[in-house]
Amino acid sequence: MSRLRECLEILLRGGFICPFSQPDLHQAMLDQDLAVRVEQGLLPLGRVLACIGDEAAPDTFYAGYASLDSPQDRQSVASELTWLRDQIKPLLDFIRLYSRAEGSDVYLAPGEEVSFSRLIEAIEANTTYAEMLRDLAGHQIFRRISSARDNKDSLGRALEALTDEGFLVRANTQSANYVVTGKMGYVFMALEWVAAYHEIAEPENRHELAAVQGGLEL
Amino acid sequence: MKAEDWKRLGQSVAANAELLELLANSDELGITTQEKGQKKLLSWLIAKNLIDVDDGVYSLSSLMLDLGAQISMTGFERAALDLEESIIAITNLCESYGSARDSGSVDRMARVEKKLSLRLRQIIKAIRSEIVSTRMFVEAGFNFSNSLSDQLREIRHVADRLVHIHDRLSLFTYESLSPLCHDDRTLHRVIVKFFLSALSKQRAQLHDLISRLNKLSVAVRKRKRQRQLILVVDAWLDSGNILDLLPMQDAKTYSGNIRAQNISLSAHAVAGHTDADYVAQLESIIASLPLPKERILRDVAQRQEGEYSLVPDVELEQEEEVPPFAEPHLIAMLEAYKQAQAPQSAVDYWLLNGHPEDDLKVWLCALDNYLLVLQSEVKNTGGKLNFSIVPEELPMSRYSANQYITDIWICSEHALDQPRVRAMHC
Repeated sequence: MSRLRECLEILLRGGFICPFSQPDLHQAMLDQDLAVRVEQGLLPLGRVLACIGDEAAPDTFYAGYASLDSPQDRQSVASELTWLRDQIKPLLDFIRLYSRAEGSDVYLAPGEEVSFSRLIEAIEANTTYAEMLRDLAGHQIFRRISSARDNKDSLGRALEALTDEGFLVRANTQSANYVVTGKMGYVFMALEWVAAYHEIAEPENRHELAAVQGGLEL
Repeated sequence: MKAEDWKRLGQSVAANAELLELLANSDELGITTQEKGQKKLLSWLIAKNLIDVDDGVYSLSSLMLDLGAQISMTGFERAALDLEESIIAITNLCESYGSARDSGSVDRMARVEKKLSLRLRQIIKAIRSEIVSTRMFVEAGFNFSNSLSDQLREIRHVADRLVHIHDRLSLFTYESLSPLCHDDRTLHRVIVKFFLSALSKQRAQLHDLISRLNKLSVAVRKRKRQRQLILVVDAWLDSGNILDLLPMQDAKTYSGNIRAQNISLSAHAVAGHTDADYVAQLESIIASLPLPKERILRDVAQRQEGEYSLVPDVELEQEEEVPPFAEPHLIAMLEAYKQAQAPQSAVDYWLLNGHPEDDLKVWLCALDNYLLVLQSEVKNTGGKLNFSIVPEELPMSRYSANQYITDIWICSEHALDQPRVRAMHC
């Protein structure tokens, strides 16, 4: 199968191409020629090639709508946004557990490695974390936790649920560790919008957060 | 430090004396694995950072260079890491070399040249070590610290170090060092050709490192921003706010970024293809399809005893057919008619046979219904009743469509005019 077809099929299925889920395809997509051909392939179907990250070398590629003139497309957008809305709270709850258990500033950033053994060790040692894990079962995405036997089983099911949704991939076939995919970047984009639209308090040190900074230029 | 360690150092140095000499006399690039030959006890020296290994290239550490110079040269002082002092030392050595050359002392010239070479190599070595350690730090992705703020602080620290190195390197330019050579070919070779060219390579590496550090800094800042974003949105949701993303589709900056939903990509296998390859592949796929699932019907006679039967053995319970209520009475009336050859009244039959008078209306109604059914059945089979039914009716009411029947007479079709004699009821 050609690279072009592989890319088009993934994108038209609603998939994301990032260095962690499809490293080869992502590398190929950084080649301008392939990206242009993919864009041309999507256009007749009313889709455009959307990117997350640096424009020159995007972290993640996915298909967006060329316009929202068609009522069907507007309806699809509404259902996509509903889906996205329903993912945010469960993901934030999982991130809260994950960062507390890890004891650091981790937050399911694309490329981050989620260590099963480290997480379960922290959860087993702290009943609060175990309760937070059990509480995740209240979300539709994590409903399979409710029938888990123990904490280990629950964590395994939670991570599998995130894998099934495409937010994680296994680090390798034998590993119990997972790597966060570029799809999480899509969720962060929605969070950006939420913060801007609802005028939620700006993060601290806003001036430090400019995408380009020249402090190290000599 | 224990005596054992000193012994180990002595043994390692003795075992690798030739290699150490080779390394001490090599240029600033060091020597590769193939050139080094002797390997005995070398790993210990490497483990103790007395010999540096970078991409398979071996070179003496700054400490070993100092040690080598200390034990082989009289009057050698350890080079200060302060590069400002180093440039003063280089200037002095150049002047010493000039005076030795003027006095015609070849030995002194060689000694000074050696000292100058070592001093310059130490400078290169010190800068290179700084760059290597910083590069390792950058390549490790700042995973030493869990906190993003700490990572940013570390980046700032590394950046300060790099800026400091860069400032110090600016002391060593062609303009500043070239006059020290006084047009001497040897000094020009050592200072300009060797030292400045090596320094320019270090400078290029430094710039590359700064660029990488810059990217890393941007990445960490972006992570920090996303982390803070998560915290504020999480807190906002926890305070009871309701999340609604639907207005997002009307926001110009975001509407184009919403992911398009899945499009079905199914296709039909047979679509008028005439391509021989396609048809051949299709045939092979069809040939490889699993056989359709069929229920194997074995001969019932061959079934083993006790095996389930296709038709249940249980006889269906059939309910005995109950004849209509009026049927036996009608038959009795017809028998009576046959014997008497005179029209038979249903009312007479009912009362003469001792049935209660109260049920008379029920009997007439039942008989009437039964006769209607009988007539329609016979009509459906193309025949007709072999007797006639003559109802006695009251005149039609003006206010109702119901016909009130007072009696039903059974008689022959040919004897409709026969007088109907009602029995006298007591």
